[in-house]
Amino acid sequence: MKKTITCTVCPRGCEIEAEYTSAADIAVKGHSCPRGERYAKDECLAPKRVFTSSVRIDAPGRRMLPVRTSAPVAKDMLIPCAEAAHGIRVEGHVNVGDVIRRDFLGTGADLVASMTL
Amino acid sequence: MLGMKTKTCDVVVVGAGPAGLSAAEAAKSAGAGNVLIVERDAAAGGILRQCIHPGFGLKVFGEELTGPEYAERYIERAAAAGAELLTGTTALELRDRELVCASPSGIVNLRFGALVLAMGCRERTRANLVIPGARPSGIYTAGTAQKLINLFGDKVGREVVILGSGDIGMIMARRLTLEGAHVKAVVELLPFLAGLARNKAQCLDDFGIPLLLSHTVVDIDGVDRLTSVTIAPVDEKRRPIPGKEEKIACDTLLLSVGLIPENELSRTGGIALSPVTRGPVVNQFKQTSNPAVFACGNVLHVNDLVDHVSVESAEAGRNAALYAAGALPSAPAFPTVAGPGVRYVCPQSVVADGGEDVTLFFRTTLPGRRTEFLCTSGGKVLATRKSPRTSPGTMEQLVIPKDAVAALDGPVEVRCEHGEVLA
Repeated sequence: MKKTITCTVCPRGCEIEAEYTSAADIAVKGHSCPRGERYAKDECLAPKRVFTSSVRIDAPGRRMLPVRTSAPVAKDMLIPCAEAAHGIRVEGHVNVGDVIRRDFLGTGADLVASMTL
Repeated sequence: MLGMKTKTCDVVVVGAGPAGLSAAEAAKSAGAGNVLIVERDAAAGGILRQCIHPGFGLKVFGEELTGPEYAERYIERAAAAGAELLTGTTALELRDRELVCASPSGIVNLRFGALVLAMGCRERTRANLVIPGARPSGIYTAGTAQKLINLFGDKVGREVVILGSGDIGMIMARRLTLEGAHVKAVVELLPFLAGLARNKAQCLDDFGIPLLLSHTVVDIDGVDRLTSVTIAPVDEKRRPIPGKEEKIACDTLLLSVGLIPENELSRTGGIALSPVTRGPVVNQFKQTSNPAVFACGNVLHVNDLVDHVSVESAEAGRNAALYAAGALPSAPAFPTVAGPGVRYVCPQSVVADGGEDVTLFFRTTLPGRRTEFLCTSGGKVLATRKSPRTSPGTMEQLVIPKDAVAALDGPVEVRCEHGEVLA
């Protein structure tokens, strides 16, 4: 399989060419850093993205709390994560980094607050 | 005047977004006695508060943060450095060494040793584009939709067309898709993407959202609510091609068609503005035509990365502190010139002071591959860089070494030579 990948690790957006037959055999070129190489290999086998959203919060003067996953999750989990986030309500004071849902939807990543409110 | 309060500060900063926070921290760290940030919103953080997506901080913090996380770190840094923050306060008028503000406790006159303009930018609207058609509800700028969804939890619509391929528009295409809306197309007038390639990859391609280059919206239908937009391809002069129109049913149109630095305050103070960047004309110290007034961030020129804003604004803050202390170096200044292939260069002049290397920021006019950037002065090459790929959506930079800065004796030109033009 051959694939042209726009790297999303940093704003540089390198165009990476990947050619692979299996997980053990991936040839990557066009990247500028080791993170780009790892990203391209992940794109071939199991693409991952950081999920972000905002969820309801009962706090003075605020209606929404921005949240993120603590690590990238499988790309095809983004829509299920977004649907699950709709049902979340948070109460009281929250610090940036506080865990809102541990192992969110079994992705292995926690859903954490991205703002102190 | 009765009830009018006056306060004297070494450095006053207008705006507590990423630019203002970084400038204030740096001014304080550079020795300014009292540094005051005035912010019209109820809280600091600026536009980052609604930018809940990741992608910020790779350069400054070496990790990928969301907008609110990035803002919170700078709010803490500015506070830890000892900068004071006055929220709910709007700067109304800039005089020579005085800023008139409306604060919750009335009009306040702030006398300053130096001032940093960090007001950011505003979105272009339908009025700026002159799109014909009806005037129903359901038409938003991308940033307004972002605010409604991310800060207020509102729903903006179900069937969406986005005009303009700027970064905010693409980010909202993803956000709306995750919120359950159907984004039918992103329509771009130009033959190339306006925003960053990575945002096309992770916001459009990830969700199969079509990007229609060289197309525009030619009509808008709907009585109370938007019911459809009509799009058409454009020719090389960007004129819609008759007979090729296509109607797309939708209840929402987002506009992501560019940002304009917000310089109404600068104009009250007679600050010289560039017709290209629409921000103040500055030297490498970020010093404007009023030597006591500095400018940084999106009010200076529209940036694509907050990390650049933080770095540039720290320089503005530090230089403002030096100016207030009478310690900013002075030397002859030479203009920078946007040469072939370059739309603008910021700063617009370079002071021949060899204290520091000087970074020139610029944008290209066209996308290309195997591009070489060249900075020259009087036939001498001061800096060069090669890039495998470039686009007008990406801010580029070249660094002039300080020895070459000290030796300047004429205008500095930046030009760009593409191995292959992609348009």
